[in-house]
Amino acid sequence: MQERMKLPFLMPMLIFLFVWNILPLLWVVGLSFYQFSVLQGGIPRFLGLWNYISILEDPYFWERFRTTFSFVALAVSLELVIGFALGFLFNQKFPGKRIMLPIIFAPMIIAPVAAGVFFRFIYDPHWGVINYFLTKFFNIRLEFLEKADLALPAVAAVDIWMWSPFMMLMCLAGLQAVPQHLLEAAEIDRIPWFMRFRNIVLPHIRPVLVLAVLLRTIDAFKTFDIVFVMTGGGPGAATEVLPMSIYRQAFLFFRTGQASSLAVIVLFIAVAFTSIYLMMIPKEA
Amino acid sequence: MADTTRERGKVNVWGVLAAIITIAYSLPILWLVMTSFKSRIDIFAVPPKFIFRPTLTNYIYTINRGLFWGPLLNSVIMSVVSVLLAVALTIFAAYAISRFNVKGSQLIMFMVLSLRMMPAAVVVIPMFLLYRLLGLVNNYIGMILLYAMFSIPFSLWMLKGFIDEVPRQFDDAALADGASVLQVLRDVILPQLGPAIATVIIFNMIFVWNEFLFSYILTGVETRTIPVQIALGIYTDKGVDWEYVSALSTIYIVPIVIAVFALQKSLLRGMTFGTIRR
Amino acid sequence: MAQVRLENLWKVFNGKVEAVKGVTMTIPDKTVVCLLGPSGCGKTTVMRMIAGLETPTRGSVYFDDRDVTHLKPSERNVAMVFQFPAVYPHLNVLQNISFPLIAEGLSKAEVEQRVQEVALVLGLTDVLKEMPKALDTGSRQRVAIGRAIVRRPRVFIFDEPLSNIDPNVRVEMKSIIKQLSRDLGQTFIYVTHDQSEAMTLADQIAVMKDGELLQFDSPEEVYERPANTFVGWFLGNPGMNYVGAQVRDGGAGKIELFSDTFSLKVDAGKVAAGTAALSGRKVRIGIRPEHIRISREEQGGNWIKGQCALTEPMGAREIVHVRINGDQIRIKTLPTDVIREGDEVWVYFPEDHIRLFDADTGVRIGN
Ligand SMILES: Nc1ncnc2c1ncn2[C@@H]1O[C@H](COP(=O)(O)OP(=O)(O)O)[C@@H](O)[C@H]1O
Ligand SMILES: [Mg+2]
Repeated sequence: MQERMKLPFLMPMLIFLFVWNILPLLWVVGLSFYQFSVLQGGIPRFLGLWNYISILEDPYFWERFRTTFSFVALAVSLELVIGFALGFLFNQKFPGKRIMLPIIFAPMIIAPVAAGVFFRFIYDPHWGVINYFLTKFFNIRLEFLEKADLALPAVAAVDIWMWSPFMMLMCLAGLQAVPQHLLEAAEIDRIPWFMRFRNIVLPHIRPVLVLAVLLRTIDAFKTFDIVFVMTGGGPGAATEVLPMSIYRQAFLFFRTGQASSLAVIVLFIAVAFTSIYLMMIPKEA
Repeated sequence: MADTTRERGKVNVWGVLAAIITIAYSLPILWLVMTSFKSRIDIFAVPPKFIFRPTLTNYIYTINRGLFWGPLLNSVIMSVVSVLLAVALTIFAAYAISRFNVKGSQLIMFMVLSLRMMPAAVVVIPMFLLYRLLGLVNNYIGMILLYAMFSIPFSLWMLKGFIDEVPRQFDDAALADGASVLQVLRDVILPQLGPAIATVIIFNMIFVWNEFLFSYILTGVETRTIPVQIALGIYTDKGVDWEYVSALSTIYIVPIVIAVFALQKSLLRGMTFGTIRR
Repeated sequence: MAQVRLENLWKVFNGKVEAVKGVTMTIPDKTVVCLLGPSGCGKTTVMRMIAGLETPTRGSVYFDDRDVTHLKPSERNVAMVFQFPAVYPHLNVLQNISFPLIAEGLSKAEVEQRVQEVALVLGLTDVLKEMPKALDTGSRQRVAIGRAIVRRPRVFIFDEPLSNIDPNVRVEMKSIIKQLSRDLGQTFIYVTHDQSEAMTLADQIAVMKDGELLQFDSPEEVYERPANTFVGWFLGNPGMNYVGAQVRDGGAGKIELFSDTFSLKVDAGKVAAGTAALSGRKVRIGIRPEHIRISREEQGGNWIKGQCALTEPMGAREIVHVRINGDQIRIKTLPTDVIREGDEVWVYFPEDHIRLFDADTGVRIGN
């Protein structure tokens, strides 16, 4: 009898997943082999691997990969450091934690669009608070989003603000998995804090941290909204990370075929990271 | 680290540090909310005003500027309807995967997790073509179906986890009493999943509420949601409209802030979806 | 080398759970002390306060004459073995045992030599390269013990180290620990809820109940002259028996202990020396099972009549339960006496072994 219910239970969701996910994926792979523009329509012309070759030969796109990886590396590494420090701090005993924790976690679930827009206001060279203090104390004024070398870190800062709490959450989960009695034993054994950390705490939280870093890497790699509202990829192409690049190619320059092949490359990178991630995740019992 | 309660009577240094950091961390949001209650002159004051006379003019202005109730209503409708649809669909699937001997269930779960990892930009092109083909651009049904899809991975993963935690004996007892699988699901499983389903629904609603790219590409003026309205409404002929943006964003994050406090207990499980096995 | 002195030590958890209530005791340097008491009586809490893992709510801890109440565990130089083996899971046995020595910065050769010594004593030489996961609980506890003793601290605390160990391994470990406690020649505090463990190990026994220290004395004293009925009952297997009675003057230096069904005349000097005016008091007569004599034939004099309620074998002996006037006592005899349930029996309490306790407070009266 159970066997009979299997299909009716599963099918609706599977069909849904197919139409709204697998189908578009196949479609984008297909498109990547054609010359096609949404704007002009018409019959797509088969190009084989030409789109890929043109992307891989174009230094402009290599520059986009570099931008993306700088963004991801900067954001994730700082998120790890800040998140770990926060996790360590909030693992201590003190009153009021129940009120503080949700406040710290809030940025995680705020819309990136809202966060991005608002940091623009804070960064503003004329009436932004940051520049007010910079002028007052250091007598400098920084055009965060208008200068090519500042824009990427400035955008990454928003991602860091939003997602360090996630690292903190993971660190807390890891730290709480460290058995209290081991720490007590170490305290009695007069083990100095760095040896305690290296040999007892770190081995316990390492698996969780590896997962957290991978997950954040994958997510930072997807970043679009913040960039879109803060800089639109500029100045020039200073903050044009790969998703932004796909968007620009497809919907500003209407090179649909080429954008699709870029999307497929991005897809492959994401799949590679995801596979690593899936290998790391503890297997179902 | 192992210090237990030795700091009695002394000021708790960690607590003070944590409080300072918490306040610092919430400053961007605080600043946003404060700005939304400032008059235009105060917003652009140099030096910035930390103490000011609060006013509701920005809110009145925002509501009257146009495209306020529409996007707000759209955001609400889309997040509610699509998430309910997704959860309804996935409860059955989650139950089947949890309880039946489904071939390839591991594959389904991993596929679902991979979908969560997928950059939206990768599928936005074919999605646009597909929707144009089907006439679903700027269409409620289209957006709701899209967001339902959007909610499936998270829902399936979480619901399966929660159903796994309900002991099988409950099902077996009911089945032995002659109940059908549907009755088991309705009378045995669902009542136990109450808080779990609430968690899944709230989380998904937040994700949909925050979604930007698809909404931006696939909606028109009639079906636009708030994130898009924030991103587009920022510019007016007189430059960047901060009064509008601050008030609209504040209204927009209120439900989310409420959700954080409501979700406190399940936040860990929800945000670490797919990372920590429970 | 340290005397450990506890002064009016209190611990209240969360403002309401009174785990330790005014414990005062002095543990002399280089003695083996067993802290004995039922589960939940506060033993672990006292140990954690000595080790510095818990701060007393009130009172002080002294090592020699130094007040260490507010020192960190690491500043006290103590070693502690926990009830559940605390072994660092990501270090192998060798690394576990040498960890504190490396932390101290000892030379490689010194570390090596000390670890080998300890491993030999504890029978760990063959598993030095194993990870803790591969070991059973007994071996893990030996690793924990090894890590404790390798450091040569001033005070050793063993908190029920054997209570989670397989019973058949326990016997062997008990003898290892006994040997250790002698060889270390240090202040050694051993917590247990098992009285036989305490009796075999201790120079002195401390008995606790409900957060209070009831008695602190040599094993013989605690066993022979329990401070109250609880201590008497808790030590011994089975524990001390109690029979309710009243006291009146028996004349000629005797006192009479009587109830509805019996009357005992005993030497006042032997049973209740130094206590005047016992007459008229309600007491409980305490006597250990192995000291009671039992007979099926009617006897005169100080023999008391009772009824056999139950007999049960215990090792080479037999325990006979006898009802006397509403109290039930247990008698340890050789199984040769053929006594059956329901039989009328006569029992005899030797004067030398009779202890008297106040019927209301349970506190021992007299000697
Ligand atoms: N950290 C704690 N918080 C609250 N109550 C505790 C704590 N530790 C121990 N207790 C309580 O204190 C009492 C004594 O516990 P413990 O010292 O562990 O007893 P023992 O070791 O003799 O079994 C028990 O009632 C226990 O529940
Ligand atoms: Mg204990």
